[in-house]
Amino acid sequence: MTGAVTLKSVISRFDPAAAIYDYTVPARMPWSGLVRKGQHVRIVDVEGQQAVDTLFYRAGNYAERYSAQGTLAAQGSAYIAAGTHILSNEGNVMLTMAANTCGDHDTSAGACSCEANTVRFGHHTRYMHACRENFLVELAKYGMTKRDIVSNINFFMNVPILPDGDLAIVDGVSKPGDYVELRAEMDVLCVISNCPQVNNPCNGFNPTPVRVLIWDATNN
Amino acid sequence: MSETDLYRTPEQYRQRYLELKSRAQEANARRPSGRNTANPPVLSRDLVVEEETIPVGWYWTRTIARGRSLRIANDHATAGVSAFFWNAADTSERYNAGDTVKVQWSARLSRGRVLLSDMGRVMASITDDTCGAHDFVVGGSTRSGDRRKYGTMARENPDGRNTHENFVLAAGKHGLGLRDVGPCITFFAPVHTDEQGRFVWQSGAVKRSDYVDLRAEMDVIVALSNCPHPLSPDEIWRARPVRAIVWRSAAPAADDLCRTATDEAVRAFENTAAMFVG
Repeated sequence: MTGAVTLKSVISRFDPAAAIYDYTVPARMPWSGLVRKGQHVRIVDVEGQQAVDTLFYRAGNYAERYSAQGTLAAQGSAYIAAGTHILSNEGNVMLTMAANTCGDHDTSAGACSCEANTVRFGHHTRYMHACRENFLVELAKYGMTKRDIVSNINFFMNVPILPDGDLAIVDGVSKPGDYVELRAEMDVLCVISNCPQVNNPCNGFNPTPVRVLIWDATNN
Repeated sequence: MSETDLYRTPEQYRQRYLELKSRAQEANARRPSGRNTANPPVLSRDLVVEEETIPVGWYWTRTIARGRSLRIANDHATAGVSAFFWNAADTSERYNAGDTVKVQWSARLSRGRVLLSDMGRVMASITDDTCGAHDFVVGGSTRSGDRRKYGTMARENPDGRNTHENFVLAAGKHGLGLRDVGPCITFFAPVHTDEQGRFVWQSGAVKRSDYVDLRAEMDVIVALSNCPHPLSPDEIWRARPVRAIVWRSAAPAADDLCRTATDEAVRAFENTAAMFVG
């Protein structure tokens, strides 16, 4: 099976000055917003090596949501990269990765949580802020709950799956200003946790802000 | 220094992470290979609570009491049996694919490893496994994926049965729905990831009469789907019946492999035990 993904850097032609939305998500905080069909949403890793845990839901029917496994099965490869069609649990294309300046992005390792932290790093890490805390608070604004948290995309997070099955979060490859950009193929609710984890290298052990920009379809 | 960790420096966090990683990878490297388990290869009739043959394309769902085991018997080497799990006492707690692989530092899980919920608890232990080639990353079949792979009307599967819809159906029988179906496991699906990140199906890794034993570590609702894996090399839709056998397994011993194999497993079982106190 051959995928459309490419390891090459794909640059966006959009000018930040023309964006209709431009917001900097502080370190450790959540964000959510509607991205309409045809619009482009860009996530900028402002200082580099910052994981951005991201979920997508169909606007108007949140039961249809991102499917990590459906996306990987369709492309036949293990990472999100330029050209990846981001599929829903109903098999529809939600977004397409239109630009990407920094290699492969994980979608198999999920989001950190207080409970998983106890297992991974010790019971003393329970009371440290975590992505699923961010997701719960942000999803609650839309009437959603823990049931609605599925495997997410971890933009800028580097988790190689080796041929022997070994899997580990390793140092991110994103440099300050690297970005990913997605074209919405349907109206989608985008929910982000700007990852607060300091127990593994996903944020360079130092969580930092990220920037979200949206361009209108009419700018295409 | 206190145990709060909150005041550590980035460099101290890094050192600690690298220590955890090297300990876990050593544990993974010395995981048992041969079959050395108390589970009987043939289950005597007095051990069996229920045995069901799942027809090709179909699903099966049951609540399995804590301490009992489920054997998935792949008598005819079918290319994948998908599985999903909910905590029967609180179905918002369910199998978590990401935690299961990252906590155990491996996407190739077999005997001696555990299936984790989203709440840092063990739902089931893999107490025996004659195959060792399962997919914890790619998941199960979907209607749209099967259409791409086999064409609009696969003659062998005229109803278009697929794992995603089977899980929606299984969820429905417990009053659950689409929101309750998440990323799953597919047993007997030998998918590897090559150096370029491409998935590779390792033909021949699934043998006739292979089986997997899962011991329930809480009361779990299990859903199984007998549909071929989306990456199986068959050009036509092809599946074979499998058996689901619920059986009375022995209580775990103090040195139970799944409970003692790694520091992570020990902590996950501590979280699980806390649910049953009082």
